Amino acid sequence: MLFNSIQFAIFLPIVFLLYWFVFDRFISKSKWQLRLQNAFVVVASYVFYGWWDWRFLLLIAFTSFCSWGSGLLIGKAKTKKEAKTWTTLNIVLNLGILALFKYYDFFVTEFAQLFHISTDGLLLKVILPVGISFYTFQALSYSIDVYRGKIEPTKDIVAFFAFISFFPQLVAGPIERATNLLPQFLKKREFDYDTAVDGMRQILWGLFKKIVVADNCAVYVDQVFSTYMEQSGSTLLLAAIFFTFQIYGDFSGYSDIAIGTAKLFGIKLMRNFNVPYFSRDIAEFWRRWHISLTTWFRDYVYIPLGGSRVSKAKVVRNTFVIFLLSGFWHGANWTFIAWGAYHAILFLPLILTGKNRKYTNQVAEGRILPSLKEVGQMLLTFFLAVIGWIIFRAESIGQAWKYFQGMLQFGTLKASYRFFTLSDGWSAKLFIGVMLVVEWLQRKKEHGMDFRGINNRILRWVLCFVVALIIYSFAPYSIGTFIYFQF
Amino acid sequence: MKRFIYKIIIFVGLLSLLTSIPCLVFEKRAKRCTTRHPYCRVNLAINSENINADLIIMGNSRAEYHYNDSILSEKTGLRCLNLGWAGYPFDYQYNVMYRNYMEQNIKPRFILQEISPYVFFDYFFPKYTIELLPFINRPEFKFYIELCPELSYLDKFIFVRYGGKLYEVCDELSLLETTDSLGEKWRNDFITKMHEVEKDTTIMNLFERFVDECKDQNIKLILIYSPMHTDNGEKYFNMDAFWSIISKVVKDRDVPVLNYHSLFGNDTTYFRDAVHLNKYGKDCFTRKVAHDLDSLGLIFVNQP
Repeated sequence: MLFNSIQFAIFLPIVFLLYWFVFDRFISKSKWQLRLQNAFVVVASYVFYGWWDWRFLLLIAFTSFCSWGSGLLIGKAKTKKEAKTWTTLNIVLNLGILALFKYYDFFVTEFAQLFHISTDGLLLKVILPVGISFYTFQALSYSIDVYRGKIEPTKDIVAFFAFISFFPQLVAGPIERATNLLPQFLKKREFDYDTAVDGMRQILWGLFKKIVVADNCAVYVDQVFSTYMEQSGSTLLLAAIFFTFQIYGDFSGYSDIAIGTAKLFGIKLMRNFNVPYFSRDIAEFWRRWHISLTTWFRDYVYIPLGGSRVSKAKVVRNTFVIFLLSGFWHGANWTFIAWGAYHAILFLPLILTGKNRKYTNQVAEGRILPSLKEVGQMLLTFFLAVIGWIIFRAESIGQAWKYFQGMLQFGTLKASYRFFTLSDGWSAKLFIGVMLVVEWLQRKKEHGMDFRGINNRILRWVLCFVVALIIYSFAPYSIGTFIYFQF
Repeated sequence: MKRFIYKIIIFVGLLSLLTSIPCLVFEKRAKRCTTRHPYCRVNLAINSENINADLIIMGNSRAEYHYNDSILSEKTGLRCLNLGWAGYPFDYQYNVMYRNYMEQNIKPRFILQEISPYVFFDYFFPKYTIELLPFINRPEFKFYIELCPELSYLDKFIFVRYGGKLYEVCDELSLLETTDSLGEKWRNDFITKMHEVEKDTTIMNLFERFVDECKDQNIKLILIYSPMHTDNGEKYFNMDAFWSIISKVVKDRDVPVLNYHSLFGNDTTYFRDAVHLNKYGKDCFTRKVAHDLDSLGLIFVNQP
């Protein structure tokens, strides 16, 4: 079920009303209330996921059960070695399932090509279960955190299943940590009016970014990328810039909808994006882009490898490991690995010179406008990100290379003119501008429609209506699926 | 909690109202529209009670733009009506335009059916269904409306029904007014995707049924291939296949076929784009058709 579908518009109010009125209010005296409410979350989440393909519900249930069981076994382990064995087994099991569905065919194909072997009968050709990378990493974080003693293993299987399958973030994150989300399912949730209203506004802003910005950009981007050999340099550059905003609108829009939806159920999810295109260097960009995945790799891979407190050679190794893994996490394609390597190369000079944490505050702190230096830094970082997104979006390394070649041909300099004229994708350009202005003004807040601090009620209503009307009026014909569903 | 739910209801209610108003205005206007807007073509058929034309012209845009029914009426002395409908394949033309007209009028004596690969190619885009939406309650349109998957939910609610798509329809209207870029647009967006005339058996079967129906009702059917520019996009179609299909249909049915394909060659004086005549071309072509219909004895010019 897509967030931007009519099915979800019907599903959400029904689940909301049942959650608060039936499973919270009417059976509030029962000692089973919390467990029933969590069970309802699991059922609703499985309906949400099963709408896409019910067969893969078994896979989520299996992953959830194994991780829950491993948590108990780790907790009961008498020695550290035994606990480590159970943790390793769970990691191997989860990553094995992920590898089977996501990477097996890729490795077989590459291996066969290398040794000139036929792949007949060797490929599984199974469809990739939606969100498998997200919930697998969430399950892994639980086992590792139990092993590290950061969280007590839970006996409540229903709460654990709700933690893994919570529908707002099931298929595309944020990748929650057990330390944050699981305790919320173990205690009674209270409805908070202000949080719920803020959640609705965040959903609205997420829909704006997804439907208005990303889907309108997609129309142009898909057209250009599918015919990139015939396009001029300026068109290719424009499409690359559009894709940069498309993927941001798409993924951060999804995250906003997920976080906003969770707020309606009294659940607080972690922030996944923090205005990444206002970053002053690539290190800051990575602190603001897909935060839940970046911090996952930092906590469970980078730091165990020694982080930056090891020799320079090992820092280089560690940096490449997390960026390559991060790239590979996105999919079984050399383009994602190249994209990870590209960012590792950009990141290395900063970490080796100790400048990777130079910008930890918000840009233009205490000022409305940035300084010229900051503008230059942001544009450079943005440009570097655009280059990376071309590799990410291309279907092969060869296509990415040809795309770059095409971009550098005569006519690229016309791009600046072309970007500001309204002939191509005018609505996408207009709303990219609106999104950037709003996010700049709201950069210190949690999301673009965080109205805390705006006391004028009429203004708040008008702003909500304007955004809703824009979504209604400028949605493209077809409902666009979310890019990150494929990961 | 109640306060939250009330506010959501108020917000959604007001939003529905706000979005319904322009839709309602649009729908009302669309139903009364008498311009060349596509909605108007549907209106023409729906509101055609007691026109009782002697001759009707059917086809897609190449019928709508190529035949001046006033000139044809003047030259032939017959009451002529152009039921051509831009952008729609034959099944739409038949089920929407022809059937609606026939239900409300005495059968015509003559039908001029414009033919070209475009008529029989099912180039269905969901957005075309939107043009039928003002008439959503007409049972004969429901089949087509249901073809648009986005409209399968709540399509009775006007604010959902039009979800932002009015503007696209208006864009299409402005596109129709342009004269220079259409040929290029057709080539780039549409024709290049078609390398063959895909024989759609559903449409062809309907067409054969229509030909038989005309014969049974004693309506004289004349098939006409109106002029195309030399650079007409036919190279993207398998024209041999097209003519063999037409030959198969007209064989043994005694249906005359007039082929004006090369009438104006590549003289741009007559064309607005590669596949459509301009107003001058339309008037010249209509006079030529009127003359030929008479000289060939297909209809009797200046007969009451």
